[in-house]
Amino acid sequence: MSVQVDDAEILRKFQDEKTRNEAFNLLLKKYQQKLYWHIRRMVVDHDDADDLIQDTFVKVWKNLPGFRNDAQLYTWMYRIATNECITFLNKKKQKNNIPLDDVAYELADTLADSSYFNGDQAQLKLQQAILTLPEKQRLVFNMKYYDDMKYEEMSDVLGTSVGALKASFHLAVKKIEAFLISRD
Amino acid sequence: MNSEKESREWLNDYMSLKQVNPNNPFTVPEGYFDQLDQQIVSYVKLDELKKSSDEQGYTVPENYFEELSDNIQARIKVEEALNKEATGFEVPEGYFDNLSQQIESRIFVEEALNEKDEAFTVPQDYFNQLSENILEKTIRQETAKPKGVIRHLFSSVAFKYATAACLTLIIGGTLFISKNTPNAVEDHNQSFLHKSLSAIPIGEIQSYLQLNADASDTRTLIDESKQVNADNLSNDLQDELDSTSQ
Repeated sequence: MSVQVDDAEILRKFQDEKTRNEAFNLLLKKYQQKLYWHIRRMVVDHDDADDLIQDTFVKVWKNLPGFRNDAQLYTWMYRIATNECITFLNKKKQKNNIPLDDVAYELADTLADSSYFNGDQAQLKLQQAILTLPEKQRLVFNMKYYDDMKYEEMSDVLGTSVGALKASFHLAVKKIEAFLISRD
Repeated sequence: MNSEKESREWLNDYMSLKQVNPNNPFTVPEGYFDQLDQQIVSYVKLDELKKSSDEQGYTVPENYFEELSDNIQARIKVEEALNKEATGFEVPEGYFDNLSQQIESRIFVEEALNEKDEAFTVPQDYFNQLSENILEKTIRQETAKPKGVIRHLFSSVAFKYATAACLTLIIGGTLFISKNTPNAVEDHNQSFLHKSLSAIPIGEIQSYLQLNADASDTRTLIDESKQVNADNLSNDLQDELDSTSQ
């Protein structure tokens, strides 16, 4: 695994036009997988995630010159990726004229049919349980459970208070536990 | 991302969730992440090119967009005026509203008529062979027909005898009838008029006729509708004789 460059160094390189492309390549190598998995867990399908990760980095490239140093680069990119996911899911809901809950059912079907899911039965059941959650709770649970993100970072990403995020997370975990017990 | 998570004490309260493997169950196509950064860079460059082609390279005259709507509206009015002049033709009111219906009705009628014509059919290639068949049965057969013997209804000998017999009968019958029939003179002599007039002397008749006869005598007798019989005529003559003798 290559040595990852500090975010501050990446931003400094990006300010200089001569090293801008280099800085962007460093940014890609550092965060592309993290952001991909964040997106993938939300939209489930690999092809959709592939489109969204590219759209996310296009926005990063466009908006990075105006990035303010008072926020973390990492959480800023997560916010862009999260917004791309929510926009995509809303479009999918409007396109198919179905409620958001039914989008979750559709995603569960996609998961069952996906050739890029390598989990066991318990992991599949967990993903099905996650897909029953409201969108915000899904985001919070995924960021905490898979990315082990701190509540303060999540607050930066989602623009929600730490207390509200904690409440959302515990609510989500209880629902998932109940789902897993009911299906045992 | 697949590394073991630290500080997961909260999972102790949720035993079912704790038993699930926390590793990422999703996978990606082989070598996906090796090429992802290059793909994204290409995508970003492409997006920049698209943006530059949209916004740069082309310019418009000053105030072009401010005047564009006015120019378009003026152009539309000119086009409409030109179209009116160009066509010059008019149709009855509501013509195009009913046109499609009329055409459909016409087609329906035509089809119905065609179906009627087709109700009777002929064998395939019937008309192609028809003239040939007719010629075969008429002209060609006539020319090919062998000349037959003309048979007369009566044989010449019998016909001659019959003709002679008929002539004999006709002539004989005529002579017999003429011999047995009295002639006109005898008929007259036996008639009432002859018998009545023969008793009167010719001289008296002549004098009577000279005195009384005129062109309308015969008609007068007819017009008076006198019944011509022996008594009337005798009386008339007697009266005449009496008057002449006085």
